[in-house]
Formats: sequence, C-alpha cells, structure tokens
Amino acid sequence: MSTAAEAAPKYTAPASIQVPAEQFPAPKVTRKNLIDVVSQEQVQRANVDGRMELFSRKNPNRIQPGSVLLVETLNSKAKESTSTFMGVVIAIRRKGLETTFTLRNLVMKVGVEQRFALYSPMLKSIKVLQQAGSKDIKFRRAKLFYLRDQPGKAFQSLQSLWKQEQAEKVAAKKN
Amino acid sequence: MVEVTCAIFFGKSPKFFTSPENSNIGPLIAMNSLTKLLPSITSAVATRSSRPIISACFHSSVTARQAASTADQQPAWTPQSQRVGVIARKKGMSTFWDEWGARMPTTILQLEDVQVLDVRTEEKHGYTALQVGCTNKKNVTKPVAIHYSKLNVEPKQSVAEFRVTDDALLPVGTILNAAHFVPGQYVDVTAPSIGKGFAGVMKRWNFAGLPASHGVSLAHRSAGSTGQRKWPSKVFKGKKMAGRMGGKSVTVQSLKVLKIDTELNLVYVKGCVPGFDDQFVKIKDAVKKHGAKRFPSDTLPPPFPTVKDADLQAMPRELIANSGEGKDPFTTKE
Repeated sequence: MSTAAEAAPKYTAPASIQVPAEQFPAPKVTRKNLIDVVSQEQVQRANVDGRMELFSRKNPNRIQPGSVLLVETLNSKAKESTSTFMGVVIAIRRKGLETTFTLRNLVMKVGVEQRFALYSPMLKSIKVLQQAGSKDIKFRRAKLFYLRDQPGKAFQSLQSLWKQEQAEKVAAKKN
Repeated sequence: MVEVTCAIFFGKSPKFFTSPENSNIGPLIAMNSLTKLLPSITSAVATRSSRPIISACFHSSVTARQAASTADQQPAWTPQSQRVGVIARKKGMSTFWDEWGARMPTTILQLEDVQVLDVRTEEKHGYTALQVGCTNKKNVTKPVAIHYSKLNVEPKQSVAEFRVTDDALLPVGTILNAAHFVPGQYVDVTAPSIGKGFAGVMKRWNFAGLPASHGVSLAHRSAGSTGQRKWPSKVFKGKKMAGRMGGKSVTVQSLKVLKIDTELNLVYVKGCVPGFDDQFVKIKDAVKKHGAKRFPSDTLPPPFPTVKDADLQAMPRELIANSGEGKDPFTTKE
C-alpha cells in the first residue's frame, strides 16, 4: 500500500447505498453507554426543526397534555401533498427516538385518535393552537384517557380554533 | 524510491500467501505509522486512525507495490465463496426510518475488537475455517495468556469458528470491521436465547390449558391427558411437557443490514435478534440467499475476504441502505 495520500481511493456509493449528507464525527463512547450515546445522537439528527424542544421535560413552554395541536404530515415522499390533523394531546410517550404523542378530536361526531411519531421524517410540522397549563386550561393528569368517556368542555373550542386557523391561512395566502 | 509493504502475521499463515524464503524474516517496518504497533501486541483499537495495517499482502520478492496491485494478490469473490462471519455484541434496539419514511425496528450490533485468531486448513485439520475472537479480556490464566502472546493478539472473551471456502482465508490477527458487511445485504444472526427456566406447558408449547371455572379443580394450566389407554399403553417419546425453556442457540435468518457505522463498528440489522443486551452473537452472510442474491446487485463483489484498509479509510462514517426496488411504498396505483 502506497504511503501517498493521493493514491487512496475515494469511496463512491453505488445506487443501493446512500451516504447521509451530514456525517457527524463519532461520539466518545465507553462499553456501557454506547446505546445511550448513539440514541441521543440519532435524536439530535432527527431534531431538524427544534421539535425536541416542544416535548422536552425541562422546557417551561413545552407542550402539555390538553394542548391543541395542528399536525401536518406528508402522505408520501414522492408527492408534495400533506394531511393535517388537529386535536387535543391526550398522551405523550417519551422514549427518545421513538417518542410519540396522541391527538384526539371529534370528526363528524365520531371520536378519532391519531398517534404521531415525533421524529418521523413524514411529520412535516407541529403548530400549537392552544397551549395548556394556564389557570383555566389545566389538566391534572399526564394521560387524558378519561376524555374518551367524559369529554366535558375539552373539545368545544376546537371548532373555533379550526376556523381561526383557516382564516389565518387565507390571509397569509392573500399576502 | 522503493516502497515496501508487508504483512505482519504470526503463527499459521494461510495457503495463498507466499511464504518468505528466509523464515526468520522479522517484521519489515513500512514507512507509515507502523511504529504505533509497538509494543508488539497488535490490539484492535476502536478508532480508525491508529489501526495498524495488517491485511496487506506480502510477496517474497521485495518489489515496489502500489495500492492497485494488491488487488491481484487477493483472490476474487465468486458466488460460491463463503466469507468469514464475525462475533458481535447485541447492544440494544432502536427504530429506523428508511428513505421513503417507512419505519422499522432495528437491532444495534457492535463489533468489539474482533480479530482472526486461527486458521484451519484442509491438509492440517481436515476442514477450512477461521477462528474469530471478540472483546479483549484482561485477567486470564497463564496458559491462555501465553497462547495469545504467541499469536500477538490480546486475549479474547468470546471465540468461535466460521467455516469458509479456501479463497476466503485471512491471516491471524486480521481485524474485522463493520464495513465487512454491505448495507442492504442479508445476514443470519445466531445467539443463545434468553433462558425462561422451568416453563409450564402453556408457555413452552402454547397449550390451551383447562377452563377457569365449571368445576375444574387445581388443573387450570396443566397439559391434561398424555395419551390413550390400553393401546399403546405408553407415553410417546417427545411428548410435549413442561421443562426448561430457552438458553439454547437460536438462529434468525435473512435479516437485512440497514446501516453500518465504520467508526464505532456498529451494524444495524432489521428486526430482532435472540438474547439479552451485551450478548455475544455470531453474524454470517445469509445461508438461504444464494451467492449473489445475498448482496444488492450493484455492490457486487462484496469486500472479499474482508474490507481492505485503503477502502475502509476512504469510507465515510455512516452508510445506509436504500430500501428495495426504488418504489415509494406509500403511493397507490391509480
């Protein structure tokens, strides 16, 4: 093997292998913490638009159960079309890269729940329409599964929020 | 200026490497950083930069050698060749999204100080295999320590053999990296399953048990009858009964390699792997996918007998497999 650096072959990936555009230097690992460090690195990479901050435990402005979110997801990578779903956060499951949250809404009088993986590449954006945690909108549970049987007033504001959101969209398009 | 490359291998040398004329050759030190080899024990270090160059070829006539001509010395891969497997450690599980956004579970396997320890040849042993060791170990008995010091390899915690074809032999001390595997190829993973202890018949053999009520006394999880009556007047051999479950060697076949990390020596495999975390697992190329079908067609030939150091240095840290045929699984046909 020649000592000259120019003789070293450059790696060209064939079509079936992709090389991620951003190559991060390898983190320091010991025998015991490898899986934690690697998982944390994966989360940092998947955290493209700061969505980790929305669900971190320490952030004072984090999304709490009972907030109303509007989530936009890509239908497929090939097409530009997206689906939106608005609902009340009834559960947040924090498992690092596999963190998921569940939204519930009443769609044509039928209760619909949808679970989203926070770091999925198909999840385009999360918009907070109503933040929970203030005096009047406060839920004293981490998981709001009781809303399935006793919705109370939790879903009443969703209609008006949706109309508000549509109006904002139209106004933004005009501008 | 004539540059000389050499192989540093101690102990038994494989058949296809030509042996030097004078046997007391001693290691010829090449220009580059082989001084890092001192002390003489070649230890497999995690980072690539300080890895000594082991797998170069040695030719008895000392000639100038460039990177291109080393390929001529290495035997070519054929669809009938069987490459060496590796021993890895199951580190844990995670999730993986492919380029289309499809989510799949993945197991992370780490190649920790994996080196070839011995070569088994047809003439001497009657079969062709490579003995591979994983994970360095400090406190060993004196006979074991002396055995490893003769090989110039640090003592290993887990040792296993892998049957190979004659053209896939490697010298003792060769370090095996995660880049030995190609993203998109299929592998078989073998490991002891988690022991369940003395398991009852419902857990071990999925028996239905007996009803919970309606007069059943003290037999809700039992097997029930074990046979007929006067004929055959015995219980057949192999009758499914309660007993020890788990702790046996289990092979999961045809798992796809999703991603490799060449610096941390990680192999990300799709799906589950038997055993608990930090378990030693054996990874080999899939047996049920024949020859060329094990690997994606545009990555042929695979690194053979293992990845060359020059190729490894040029590789980026992470390589990810593209899934399947290039079609988006989320688009529906009109």
